Amino acid sequence: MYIFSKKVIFFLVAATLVTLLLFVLSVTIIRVKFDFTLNHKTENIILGHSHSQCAYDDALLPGFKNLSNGGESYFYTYFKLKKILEDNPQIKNVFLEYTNTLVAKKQDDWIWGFEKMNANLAKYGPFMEIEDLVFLYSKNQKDFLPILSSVFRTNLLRLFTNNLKINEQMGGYKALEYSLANRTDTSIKALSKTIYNDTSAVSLDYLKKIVGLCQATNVTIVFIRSPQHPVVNKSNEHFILEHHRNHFKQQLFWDFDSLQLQNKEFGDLFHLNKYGAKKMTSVFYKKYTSEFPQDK
Amino acid sequence: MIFNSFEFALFLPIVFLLYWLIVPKGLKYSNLFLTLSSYFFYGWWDWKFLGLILISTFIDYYAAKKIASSDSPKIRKQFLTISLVSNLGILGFFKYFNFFVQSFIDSFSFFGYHFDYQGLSIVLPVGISFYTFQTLSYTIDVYRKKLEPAESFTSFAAFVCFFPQLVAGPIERATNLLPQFYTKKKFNHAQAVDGLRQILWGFFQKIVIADNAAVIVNDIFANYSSFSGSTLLVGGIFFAFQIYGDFSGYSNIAIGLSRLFGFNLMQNFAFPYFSRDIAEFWRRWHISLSTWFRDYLYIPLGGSRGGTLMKVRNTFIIFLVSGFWHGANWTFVVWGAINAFYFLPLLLSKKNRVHTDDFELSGLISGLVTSAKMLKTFLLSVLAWIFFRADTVSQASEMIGKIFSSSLFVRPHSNHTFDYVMQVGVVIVLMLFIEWHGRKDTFAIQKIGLQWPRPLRVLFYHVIVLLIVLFVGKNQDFIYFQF
Repeated sequence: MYIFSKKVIFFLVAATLVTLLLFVLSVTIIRVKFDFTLNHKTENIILGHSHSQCAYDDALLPGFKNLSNGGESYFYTYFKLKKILEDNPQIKNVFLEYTNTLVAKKQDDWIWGFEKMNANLAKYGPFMEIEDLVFLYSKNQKDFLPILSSVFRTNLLRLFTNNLKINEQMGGYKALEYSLANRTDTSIKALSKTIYNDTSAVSLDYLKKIVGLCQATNVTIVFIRSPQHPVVNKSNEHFILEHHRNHFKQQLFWDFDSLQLQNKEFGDLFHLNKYGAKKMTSVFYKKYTSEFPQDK
Repeated sequence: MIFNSFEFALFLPIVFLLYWLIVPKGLKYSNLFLTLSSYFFYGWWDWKFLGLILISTFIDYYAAKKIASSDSPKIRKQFLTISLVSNLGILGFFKYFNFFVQSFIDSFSFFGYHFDYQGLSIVLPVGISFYTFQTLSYTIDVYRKKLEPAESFTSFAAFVCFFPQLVAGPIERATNLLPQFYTKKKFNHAQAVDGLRQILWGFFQKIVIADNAAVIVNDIFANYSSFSGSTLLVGGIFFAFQIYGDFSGYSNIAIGLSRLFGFNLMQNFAFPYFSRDIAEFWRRWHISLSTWFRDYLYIPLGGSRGGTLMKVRNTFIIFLVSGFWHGANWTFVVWGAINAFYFLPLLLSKKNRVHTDDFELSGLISGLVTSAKMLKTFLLSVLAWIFFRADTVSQASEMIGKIFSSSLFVRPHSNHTFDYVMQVGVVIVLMLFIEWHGRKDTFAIQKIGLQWPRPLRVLFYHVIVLLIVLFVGKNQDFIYFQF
């Protein structure tokens, strides 16, 4: 039994070391080799979650790349932006979605909840520092290890398939085909519910980090708010406006929330469909050319 | 405590080392230690339900003693009845009480009488169906004079609660397992290494296959109304592999663990998805339960002797009871009935024992014919599994209806990325490939690599470990724990 136990321990130690070695090696290679380079003509990027992802059709915006991604919180946007700015010195302006859902407390689940942490750590985990990972672990110990396994798998697949370039999984314009056109006002109202009650300290913290990062690299950052359907009950509206006044007074804030849109231009209460996006993009571009004539 | 948990990773080496230190002190001590360790293992989930195991142990131990010591058929029958009623009574109350009451009320509603019944809040004790059937086999075998009553209470208690197979089988026969508690164990290096190989394969099946397939299956079954027939079929196929990986994986871990302690449990799965007809499938799937029903229900009912009507009756009884054993839901009963319908034509045409040989794919034509038979059997089982997995019979019917519609030819899609679904698909194919190679052994990797140079063999095991690490997902409970 002594020999058996010795062999088992040896096998387990060897398996652990091999696994750790492979993990560290894969992360290191990805950190060094992963390429966030965009088209050299891209001087403006749009970041945020699904609201901005569905609202700005970058095919209609010369010099723009919409890199918003559904369900992405400021926490992960920060790491994405950091790498993009490092690899794309030509970028002049960052347009960042600044809306009620992105600062809501429920946003925390988008940082360390299983689903979002799983999806985002696989993409941005290799570019995070140890303390960021420790922070995530402290928030969700139960799911962290299984998620690391998924990150490991993604890393190896990236290496084996040589998929080491920024890709659509990290964001991009999404054209919604469906609309609210066939719904009555009553049925639309019934869809609305108050979902924002408190604010997320972590999200706000990373919002500040994003602003700080842009300032440090001499990139202009503009907060934008994409339109939501008028029936949406934004119970933290006062907070978002107050927060902007108190903390980001000097930041430009283009608020398109009150843009007049018809039901047929909404995919659902929170997202524009492709027709709404076309209108929104046009309004946005006009604003951009008037505010940044030198960058046009 | 579940096998794929951190607690179990601590529990196992401690119990293993202490057990082999205690073994030289005598059987009484080693059996007592195994009993207490098994109670700890079970009590970790909920110590309150240990009482049920103890009740079952006491009743069956004393009932069997009385049966064996008496020559009076009346007394023998009385004590057998006590054992049957108490075991099935406990099982019936915890597992089926609400189902029967609700079905009773529903049948009254059909005639226009309405009752307001909320149902009792009954928690189903983990593994109750497994250890109840195991202890029943003991008293029945003693009654049939096939087995002497247990030599001591500790050996019997250890037999009832032996932790590797306590909560999800294999449902051991007392004639096989109980005598193993009478002989002093000697550590067998080869047996232990073989056990470890089986555990490793079991974890691969559970963690890599079942848990990852579950992610896709759960989504498809939860949102079945929004998916096409093709996606639902994919969901059914993934579920077939989920339940196989889950249950066969558990059985392999259980058998492997037992081997670490010097015990041999029966094979529970013999590569069922390579079966060439449904009769063969049922000889290879959950063997311990199928043979239990065969020995204690089917044969006493007359088996396949007698006229056609009796054969049909007995086949339906065994499949319906088998379905109902899985849970108090009509979906399981329908699943059993479907399998009875699959099986009956083979039985009545006396073709139910055509495929008793090993699987082979020799020759182009016969190989193709055999592959087609395997595929047909697999797809038939998938259709039945849809009832097993669905929440209601109407959900399953709707899914089957969609599968047999034009939407079967639409490109499948799910809420998970194509990459993820492909990754799970690839590891399933890998499992099938390895299982095909090891199909003549009792588990897939039993002999794979034994003839290879040592470094290559070690590399093979490291790759399996690495795959397990790479596919650790959100921890899913073993499906059969709920039964």
